[in-house]
Amino acid sequence: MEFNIINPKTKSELLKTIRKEKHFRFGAGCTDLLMELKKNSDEGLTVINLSQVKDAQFNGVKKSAKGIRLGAMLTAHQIVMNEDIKNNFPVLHEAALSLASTQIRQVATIGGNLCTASPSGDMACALVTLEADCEILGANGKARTIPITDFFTGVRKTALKKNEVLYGIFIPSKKKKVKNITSRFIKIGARRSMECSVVSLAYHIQTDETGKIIHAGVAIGASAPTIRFAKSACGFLIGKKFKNISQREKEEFAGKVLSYASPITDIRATAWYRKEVLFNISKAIFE
Amino acid sequence: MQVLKLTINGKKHELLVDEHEMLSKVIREKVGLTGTKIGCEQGSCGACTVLVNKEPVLSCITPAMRFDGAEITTIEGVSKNGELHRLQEKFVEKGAIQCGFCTPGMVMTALDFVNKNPNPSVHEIQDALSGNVCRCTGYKKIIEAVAEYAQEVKGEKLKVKSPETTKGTVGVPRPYIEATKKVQGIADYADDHKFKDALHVKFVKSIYPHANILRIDASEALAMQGVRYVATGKELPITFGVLPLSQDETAMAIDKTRYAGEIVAAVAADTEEIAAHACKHIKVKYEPLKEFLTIDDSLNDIGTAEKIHDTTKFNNNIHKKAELRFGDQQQGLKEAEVALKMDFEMIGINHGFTEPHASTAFWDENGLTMISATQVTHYLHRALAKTMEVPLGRVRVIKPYLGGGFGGKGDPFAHEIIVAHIARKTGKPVRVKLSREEVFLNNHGRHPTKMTIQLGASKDGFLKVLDADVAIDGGAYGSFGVVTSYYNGVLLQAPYKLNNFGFRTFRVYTNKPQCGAMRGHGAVNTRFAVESMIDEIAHKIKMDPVEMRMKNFLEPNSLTVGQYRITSNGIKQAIKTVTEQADWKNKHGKMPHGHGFGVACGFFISGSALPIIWNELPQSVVHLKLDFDGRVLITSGANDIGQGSDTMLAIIVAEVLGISMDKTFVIAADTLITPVDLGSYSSRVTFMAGNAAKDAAENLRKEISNAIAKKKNIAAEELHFSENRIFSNDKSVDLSWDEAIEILTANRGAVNVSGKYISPKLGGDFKGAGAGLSPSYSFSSCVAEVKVDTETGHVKIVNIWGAHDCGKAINPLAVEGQLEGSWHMGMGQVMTESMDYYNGLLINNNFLDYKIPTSLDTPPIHTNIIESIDPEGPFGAKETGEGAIHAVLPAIANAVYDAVGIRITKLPIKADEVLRLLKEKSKKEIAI
Repeated sequence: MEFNIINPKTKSELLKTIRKEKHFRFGAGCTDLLMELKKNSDEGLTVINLSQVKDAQFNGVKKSAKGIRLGAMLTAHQIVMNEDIKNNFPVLHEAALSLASTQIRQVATIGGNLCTASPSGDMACALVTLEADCEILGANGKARTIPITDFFTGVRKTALKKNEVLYGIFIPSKKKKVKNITSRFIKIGARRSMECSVVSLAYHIQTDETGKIIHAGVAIGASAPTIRFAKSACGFLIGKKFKNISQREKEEFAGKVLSYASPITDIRATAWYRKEVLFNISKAIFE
Repeated sequence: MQVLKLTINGKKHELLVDEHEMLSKVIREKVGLTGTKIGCEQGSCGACTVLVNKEPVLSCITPAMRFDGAEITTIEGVSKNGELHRLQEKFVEKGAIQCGFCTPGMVMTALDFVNKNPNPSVHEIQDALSGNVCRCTGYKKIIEAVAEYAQEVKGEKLKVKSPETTKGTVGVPRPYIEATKKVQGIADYADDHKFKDALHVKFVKSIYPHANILRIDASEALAMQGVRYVATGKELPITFGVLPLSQDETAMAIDKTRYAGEIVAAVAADTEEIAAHACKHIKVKYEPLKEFLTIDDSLNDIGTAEKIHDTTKFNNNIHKKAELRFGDQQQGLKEAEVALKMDFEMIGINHGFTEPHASTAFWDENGLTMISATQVTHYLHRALAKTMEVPLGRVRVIKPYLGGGFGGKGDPFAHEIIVAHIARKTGKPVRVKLSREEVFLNNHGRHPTKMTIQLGASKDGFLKVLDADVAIDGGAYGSFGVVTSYYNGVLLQAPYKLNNFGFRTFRVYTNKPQCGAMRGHGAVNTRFAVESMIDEIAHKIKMDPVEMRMKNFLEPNSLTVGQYRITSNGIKQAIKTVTEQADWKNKHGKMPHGHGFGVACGFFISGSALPIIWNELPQSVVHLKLDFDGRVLITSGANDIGQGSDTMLAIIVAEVLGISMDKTFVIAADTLITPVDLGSYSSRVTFMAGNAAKDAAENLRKEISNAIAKKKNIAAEELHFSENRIFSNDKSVDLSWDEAIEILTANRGAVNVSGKYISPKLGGDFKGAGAGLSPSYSFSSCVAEVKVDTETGHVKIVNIWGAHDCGKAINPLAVEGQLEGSWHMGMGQVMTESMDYYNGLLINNNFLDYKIPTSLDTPPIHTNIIESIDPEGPFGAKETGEGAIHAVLPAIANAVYDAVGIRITKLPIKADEVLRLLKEKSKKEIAI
């Protein structure tokens, strides 16, 4: 495994490096990248190390009335420790906490988790549920924003163009009149730690003071080539009382979630199992 | 190359490093702090954890250049002014250190965690440590150590007594003698030994499971700057193997390759990088052959295809057939009122020790010296002499501290022979360290197994017949396989009395990495099947499975049907202990759906009564040297692989001589200095080396007694040895140890004595009678509590209660550690571990996809030591390293049955499979 490494220290140095370098990969936490390079060493490759770029928008958290903006370089550990996220977006907190191990969470970033574009990305799945937007920075310093569902274009493929870098993620605040939030990340895997999801289900359901669902986000991971937002399942819930959903409705909801799944059989599980479990855990979220 | 500035443990360094160099490599190779260990190079084991700017970082997957200017703390920086950090003391005290290879990473992770979370729950500790793999301890003692440290940090005074560390008494729990060294990261393992001007070896490995090698072109590699030697198979034509019966391996493939991953060529170069790079430029032309990847493929006639080994008898790939029958099985089947015939299937698993294999070889005027991570210096010694074609007296093998074995370092290995060869050819020291992927490809792990078992019993629960038809997948070479073939059968003849018993095992060659010995050798899979079937029969005849087992246990001082001599036997006490502790009577069969309890038993040999290579050497010899300074030097060929055998030897010698532990010193496993011991396999070391140490110490005691008797004019028999004094009852003689030594060594100087162990002649006179013969046997029992999630099929182990009859615990802390580690390993095989192949390629050759249970997956383990005091074991001791694993797997599966009524016949228990079976079951029930 051989590569050069460049450590830009500021945003402008970073942009300059991007413009200058021909054959490069970005390294955020490097946990995935290094595994990949160890397997398939790519001669003459430059790794642009993003971890030393000092830039508040890249590394920090910014709250506003509209929502919360997370710098792409926030680590899973920082996400776990963030009280705002824990209180307002538990699904993301839980997803970050379920990621690999203490040491990996220390360096693994939310931006890396998105850009790897693994169908089983944990934080990515939570962010899809939260209907986040991705802020992308071009080499010219101009940013563009796209919905996260447009960010993932296939297995390990994203909408990032060459010379673009993921700059931040914006999560919209809860809707008006929301009283309660039921927000969880369910990860199915053989072990309780150091695990890649066999199936994951993220949901963020907002209810008003009467318990009526006024907004719902549901996403599934490791069940299709990309993380999927289960739109029809979300729509199905609107207007229903969270606590009064009948058994038949639960199953109908689970069926709708399942309609977004097109899993494969691989080393971790069979397609049959993924579907079966997805259905079971989906119908169980109301209990 | 760039300049990297780091402050490591308070010391400033400016280092020239390659951009792509990992922090672990810089710390270990450039700075020389080898306490930071490399276990996987994939960020999946945590052994390389260091603190960077006070945050835990996996140094093996972090380019050093990412941390220019950082402050780093490694394990060497944790103790201050020669004093251990309190957390390190806790690790030592609690017995949280066995092989010690995971210890530095574990300490760093725990230290950071407690600093930031001063009031953690046990669950939080488990979570924090869940990225650090430990294969020895089952995490129990590690978690206890961290929890107690955290309590102390909080200011809580603990009523915990530190174990007595000086008094040399058998039965006193004590940390390993080398524990303080290991906890500071200053114990050197095989890859930590540095040599001037050493070359580094990397391998070219076959990409085909079965192929002729037509051509190897190394010209490009040889022309590269820094490449010193390229070796290919033809240079090392002499075959080797651990058993004289199956010397079927060469160091590198010659003419044809038998598995994907087999070594085809080796490059020695100035650096690892150059060697690795050169390997990519060696061109090998293959001609693929039909491959045989499953047991069924290899059992069948292969038609016109080419066999894996042309030495096998028939036109198939059967390596060994082992068959023994006792009593009359047909009659037994007739007598049985309930008879079951069931199929089982287990996937192969790997030892998963944390330290990858590593070796260094060099030649000088004394011949070959090899420092290697090996469990069997003696057999490696022989294999090196054979393959290097030098007399035995020109080979020296040294085992440094060893990071776990479990059977996986118990063979002579290709890489050891290759580095010895290249060292001779180049005249330089030659090093090799396997990657985790290579460790998996090297394998020698548990055989994949398919079997059909018939078990019959009377309605009142007495076993009438057992017949096992077994096939095991040996992979490409023999290894311990002939022994494994027998053990699959013969080790079923206890702990239950069976009059009609038989088995047949086929071991086949397949085009996959070879299988060999692994903790519980050969008996784990068949034991699983039989214990599951006893559970099933008990259910059918509506009898408590504990009661049914109680009816069938062999008594102490009895013979098995195959003429094993059972002496001490604590099986009844074992099962009684665990079932009482688990409140079995009120729990089994009485829990709500999804929640269940299961029980099982096991038994194992306490050392093989016969040596692998037939000769008349004692199985173990221990030397003692006592000189003017009063210190007893203990030398033994026994390999301490983390199980604590060095400590065991010192305890036994100290006990016999009535001296404190600080008057002992152990040098072990250096074939030049230490007398032959056959090595750490078949759970033989405490029994055999322990007995040899006891014999030696008794001989030394006689020498001392006689010298004092002569000088003081007293009968030697009147002298007592205790608390560093030698005295007579009437105190007419009352000498300190030093005074006694003065008398002993006067006009004589240092005294050397020897002790030995030779197993008694045992067993019947039929062919195969020697398999499984042991001077003593261990017994064990487990109860497992599980919860099965019927929505996901996930089985959660809630509790494990275990009891193991080890005869006598020489060191109870070490015994507990062996038991907890065994049960944890058993949980791994039954729940999550499997070696998965796709067209002959091992696809999960890393610790992320090969799933050893993490600390978070490990339930509370309740440990019980049963002491039956064996008549022939040292102070009554017998084995404890392997036997305990047997009972835990079927106990868990039987608990699943109790929880949801599903009989598990395939391992590991996959959620996938459980969910499918649950669904089938509920369909059937609806149909009824």
